[in-house]
Amino acid sequence: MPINLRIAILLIILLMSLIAMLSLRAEKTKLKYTLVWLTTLFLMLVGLLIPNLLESLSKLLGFEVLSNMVFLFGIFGLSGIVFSLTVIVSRQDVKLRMLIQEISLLRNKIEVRDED
Amino acid sequence: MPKMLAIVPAYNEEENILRTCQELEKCSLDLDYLVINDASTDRTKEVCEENNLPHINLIHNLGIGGAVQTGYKYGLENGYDLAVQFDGDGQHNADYLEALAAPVLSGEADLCLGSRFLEKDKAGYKSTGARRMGIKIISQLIKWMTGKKIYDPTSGFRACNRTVIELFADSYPVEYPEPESLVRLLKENMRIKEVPVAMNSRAKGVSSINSWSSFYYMINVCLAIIMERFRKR
Repeated sequence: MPINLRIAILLIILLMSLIAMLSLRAEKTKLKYTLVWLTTLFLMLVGLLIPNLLESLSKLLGFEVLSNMVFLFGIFGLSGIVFSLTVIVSRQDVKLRMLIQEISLLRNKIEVRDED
Repeated sequence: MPKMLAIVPAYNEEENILRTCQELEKCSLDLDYLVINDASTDRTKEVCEENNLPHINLIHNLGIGGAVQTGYKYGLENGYDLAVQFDGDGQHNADYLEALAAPVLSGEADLCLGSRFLEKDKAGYKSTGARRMGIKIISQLIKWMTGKKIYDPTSGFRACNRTVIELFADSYPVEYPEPESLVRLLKENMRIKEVPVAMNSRAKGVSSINSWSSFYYMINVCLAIIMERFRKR
């Protein structure tokens, strides 16, 4: 890979890490949900910095072109992240429903008591 | 004397809710009722307040399943022995409440379902052709999954005993509640009975299921039934 491309990718990885860190610091995101991004970025960094690591891996696995392996793993990885988000959303859906029901019932109880 | 509660889910039913409740008050059974106002955007809440209808306002819209479950939770907390679901849109007829509650009160069934398709000659609203077809498919699927034939699995007109109230308060399928909850009950070896009823077509307002989404509904409901069948409890 030409050196200027490597530097460009390195900068993008660093920028994304910075964004992840900053949003974590600002408590915009929670650590347990951000960790998966930091791990991904770290793996990208390893692949970028260790020369011939990705090339030999793709040869070993039988890919004809290196980029095919990168894209395939990238898509699988992202699918995994998106699915985990689906799980999280569904779980929160249940929690939210229970909260709404509980608060509505409590509010009704208070109103009925106030009327008496 | 068993304590009985009618759960009346209502979403944007300002035109129907008062009449529905008046019908319940005229009913020969000695039952309380509770309107669950599912965060309506119209004047449903005001109509309930002005007429002193017992009601709970959900602080956020939950959909029919979540609204009905709130009613079961209320029933559980307040020691009701029997609960009936009675739609706020005027589709259900209070004259059938006694027939609906009887098998539950006598202990013959855990849940009794008001069915539109039990007696062929019974007049009244039986839904449109396409929807009847869909109901037949759902009914057949439930038969395959549980071995029990239920003629009107989408009916929201039903009465149940304390055991089922406890079950529903604890967990209620909120996405496609009617058919899915039946499969859940059958898996728990609950006894379900159907009695023939006639229903009215909606008096005023619009149904929550439109023709656009009915195909999507069918796919989802079938999947939900199959999933429910194979779910570990």
